[in-house]
Amino acid sequence: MGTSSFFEYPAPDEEQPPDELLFLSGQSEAHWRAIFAHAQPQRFRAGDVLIRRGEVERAIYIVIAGALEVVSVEGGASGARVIPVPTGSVIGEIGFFDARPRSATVRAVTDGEVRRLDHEGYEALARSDPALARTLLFELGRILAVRLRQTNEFIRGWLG
Amino acid sequence: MAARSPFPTYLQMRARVPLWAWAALRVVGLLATAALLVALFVAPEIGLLAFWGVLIPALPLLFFVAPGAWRNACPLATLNQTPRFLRFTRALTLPKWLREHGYLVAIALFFVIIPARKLLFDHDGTALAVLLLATLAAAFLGGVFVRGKAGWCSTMCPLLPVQRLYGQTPFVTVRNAHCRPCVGCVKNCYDFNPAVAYMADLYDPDPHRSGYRKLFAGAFPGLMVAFYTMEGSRDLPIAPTYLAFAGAMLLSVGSFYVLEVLFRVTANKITALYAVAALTLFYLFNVPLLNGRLGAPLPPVAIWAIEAGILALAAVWVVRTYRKERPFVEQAITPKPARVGSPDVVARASRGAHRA
Repeated sequence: MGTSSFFEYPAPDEEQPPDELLFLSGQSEAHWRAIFAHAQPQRFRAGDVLIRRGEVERAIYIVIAGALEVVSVEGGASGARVIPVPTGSVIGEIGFFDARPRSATVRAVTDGEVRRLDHEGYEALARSDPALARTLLFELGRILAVRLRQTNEFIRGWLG
Repeated sequence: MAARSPFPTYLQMRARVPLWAWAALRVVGLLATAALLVALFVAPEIGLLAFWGVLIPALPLLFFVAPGAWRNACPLATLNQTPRFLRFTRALTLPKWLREHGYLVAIALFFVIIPARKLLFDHDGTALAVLLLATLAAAFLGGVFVRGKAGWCSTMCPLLPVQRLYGQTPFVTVRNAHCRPCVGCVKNCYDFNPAVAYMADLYDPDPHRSGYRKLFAGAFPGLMVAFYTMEGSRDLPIAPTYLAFAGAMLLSVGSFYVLEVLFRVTANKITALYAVAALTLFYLFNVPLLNGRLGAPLPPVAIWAIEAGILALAAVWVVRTYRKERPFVEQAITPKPARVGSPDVVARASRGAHRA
């Protein structure tokens, strides 16, 4: 989050902050294979809706190929907001934790594939590889903590 | 089809004017600049009238309504981008300190040049021509050495603070016709996303970035009052003249910060008010002055109608500037997706897991 989402262009290297939103960055191919053994592959075509606003599901999605977009439609004059979800993105982590209705719709911009890890799949991973499951959970929690901190900082600056 | 964002970047905008038309306009701009410079040397009364009496009074309204049009056609920008167009720019990255504080250079230049109009540039065609030549040379050299528009247009040009303040909510959004491709030369680039660049500056976590913008917005109405209530003459003492300007601007800045303390509103709301205060003051003083130079002056009722029209335009602008703050904040606090560290590794693992 932050104002960088309005200016998606490369900045000089020294201005690039470390990316705090990297998920499981140190994991090997074997670790990812262990995770995906419990995550269903799901192909999509351009225009398909993967996540619908208001639906309740406890699952995260990892975009293996293709591109999606999050479409958030608020009431009033705001209009639709679109957040690109390129290959390599991880989405759905808030619903994975709190099991509340999805806050936005996610639809496909191109054809592609995701891996869907739901709660049952996570429990199965936790039984087969507890350390990896714990790492995954802590990583999701860390990302949510980073987002909360960034939101607090932005709102502090906005209110002055 | 992707849903439309309320704040499209220039890459997402449709180009209503073809590139060749902007190129033609730039050539016309350069020729007009050359003619102006000649006039300032050989027929200074005509040159001074053309510059201070026609161009400068028109610019604030242009910045207010369609600032992108000026950004695309400005002769300074044309010279700045010529080295890139002809592929002999060194395309260096501006030093970090200059990227961060270049705006202060622009503000300082503006606050030095405007009072100097009273002392020199309003009366002396040669002096104004030399100033313009120096500015054109600086813009050109900025393009020779620095990549993108960071060498002048988006950092140190003294018109930049005015453009960014007035141009933050354009009535007509004009697509950037210079940067192909974008090289990411500055932060919160106006040419990249005109509708939100100023707010992004105001809410930047760097207090200097937002502070410089507030400082200029706060001082600007004071500068207007000082300028138009002071008689100009070559005989004016320099230091007292600048002190008088400084005093007026400090009072204006002080009022800005008092409002910030008393009314717990966002910085965007107060800077917008000061922007329209400066604009309406400018035309309140300038419209009668321009009318006085016409061969057949307009009657007072026409002057009041023009002033009322500008006030109405300013009021609509304020409402539009206030209204866009909410969707801006909503998008700014919307989280970007997390990413895996190595998409290739993840893709191979997915194929392996699938086959298993």
